[in-house]
Amino acid sequence: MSEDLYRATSRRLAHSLQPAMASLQAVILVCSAIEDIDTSALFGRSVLCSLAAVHLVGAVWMWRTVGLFERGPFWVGLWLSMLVVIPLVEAHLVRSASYAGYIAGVPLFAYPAGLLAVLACYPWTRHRLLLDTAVLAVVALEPLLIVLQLHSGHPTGTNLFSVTASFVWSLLAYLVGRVIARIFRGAVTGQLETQQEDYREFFDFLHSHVDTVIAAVRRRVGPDVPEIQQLRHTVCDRRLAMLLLRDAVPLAEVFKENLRFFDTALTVTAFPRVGLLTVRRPVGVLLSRALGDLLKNAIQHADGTAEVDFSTHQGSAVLEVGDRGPGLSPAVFEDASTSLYALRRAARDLGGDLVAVPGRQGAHLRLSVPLYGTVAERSA
Amino acid sequence: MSTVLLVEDHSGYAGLVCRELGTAHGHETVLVSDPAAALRELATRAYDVAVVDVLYEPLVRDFAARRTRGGLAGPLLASGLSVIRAAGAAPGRPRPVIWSSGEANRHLHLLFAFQEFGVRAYCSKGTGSVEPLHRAIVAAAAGGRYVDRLLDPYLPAAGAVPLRRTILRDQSRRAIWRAIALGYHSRRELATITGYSDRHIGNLVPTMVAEDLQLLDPGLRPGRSPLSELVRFAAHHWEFLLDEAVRELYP
Repeated sequence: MSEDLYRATSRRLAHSLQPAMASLQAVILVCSAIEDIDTSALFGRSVLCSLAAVHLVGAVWMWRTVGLFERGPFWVGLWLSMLVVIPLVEAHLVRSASYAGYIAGVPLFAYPAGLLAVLACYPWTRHRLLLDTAVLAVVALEPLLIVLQLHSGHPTGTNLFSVTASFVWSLLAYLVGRVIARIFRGAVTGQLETQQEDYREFFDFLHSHVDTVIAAVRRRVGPDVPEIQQLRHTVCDRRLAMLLLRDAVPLAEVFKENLRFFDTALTVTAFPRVGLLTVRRPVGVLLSRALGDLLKNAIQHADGTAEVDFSTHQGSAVLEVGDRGPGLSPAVFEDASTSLYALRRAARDLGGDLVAVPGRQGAHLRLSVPLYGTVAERSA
Repeated sequence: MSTVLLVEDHSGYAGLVCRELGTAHGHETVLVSDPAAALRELATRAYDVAVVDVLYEPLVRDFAARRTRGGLAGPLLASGLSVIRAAGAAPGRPRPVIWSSGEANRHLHLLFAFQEFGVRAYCSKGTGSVEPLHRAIVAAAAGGRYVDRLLDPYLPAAGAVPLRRTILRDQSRRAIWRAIALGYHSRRELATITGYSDRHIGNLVPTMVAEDLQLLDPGLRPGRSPLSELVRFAAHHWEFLLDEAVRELYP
């Protein structure tokens, strides 16, 4: 959930930054047209001013629409290609002797800054490091190659200093983008944690209230009123759904809610103590489903009495549910229409299994599942 | 038939239960709504059994407001643990019964009551029947055990490491936990609040995750920085970490 929020926040941030950065690039192009191009070179000035106008139009378009970054890799690539094309155009327009003639940086040294800042704070999902490194490498190498070309492979110290300074400006812009993203992520995390704490507090007391009030109503009107049962089941159901949304699922609560769901129809002779143990979400979902299905079996196919045991052993969670019914045929695990077949498949998907324990009275099922994921996940 | 002190803030339901404990089971029951009133009652009269809820919503809300404003002069959060502790020294030494719905923010309280105060009678509030509470009262009065199945999962498994050997192990750990629960989440803030050096806290925090939290929760797989793990845990359990009875026992 927090990752989704990060992305949503970064996208909003990037959306606001894009037109601002395109406008900044337009201003930088106009400044370069005035500062770096000879007053007599009207063509050069016209080209740069036209490019500035294109950037301004682009900025307005980005402001009014979702922006380039939301349109996919092609549009992002198009904008990134400007980091290569525009400095090349500029290099052809200025006098070769004056290119990289100032130690502050090459002409248009500030041009990549805006885009690099947006790039740095955008939540890329894959190959982020590779892409960022590639873009920074291009930004660093291009002025160097231009200088080498213009000076026939013999740049002066000032030329090299100028190229280095340009790269430092670009790198700083990139780092500023990363810092801005980090600040926003920190703010989002803080806000999210505070909100979650409030919700948790609220729901804990709400459930306690609801439980108590339902208990009072059951006391007054009788425990078997269907509407009250339905309300209890709804509360249990929703509470379980909320518990199973967490990354670390608290097993004690999952077990309690499952037991509470069946408490009027079921007598449980033994129930496990699990203390503060939490499990990862897929394991929590599986254990909750298993407990619900197996207790339901005990009600439907046995005398409504069950015993439940749970343990952890060598990195695996083991849940056992037994009843006093007629027992199970092994064929039930092979029948795709049964819940036990589906449950065993789900357990196996997570690297565990569901088996019938032989030699016990009634049906006695054992579900095992690795606590920490598959072997590959564990070694990672 | 026992004399029972019932400490419960849901007055409507508690009143109903009180009456039924008397009419159906012959218990003489006195109802009070919060731990402070319970302590006064325990000092004036001998009871056989004290039935206590764990957290009292008005007290938690008041304390939470005080906590976020940073004004924490005076006692910390009063909970059912205060009543259980006082009951151990009260006239007649009433035996405690915990009567709770068992939500996540009561979990450490239940463990602590089991491990430190030897409470062995636990009854779920949401059953809608007075019968289980009566059985819990009878068991407690006789010094026996009664654990409602719904609260069983919350109690420590056999061989579980007690809280006093994990998060309450020593004074510096407790100081750090309380400071985090108060909302101080950076090493520098923790150093200022606890009086320990930045380096000491830096060394201790990873140990608190690896040796304390992972002993309590073997399923924990720390994915963030150790301090973030402590902050996450404290956010879920601040009511316990800032409990007055726990502080009295483990300053």
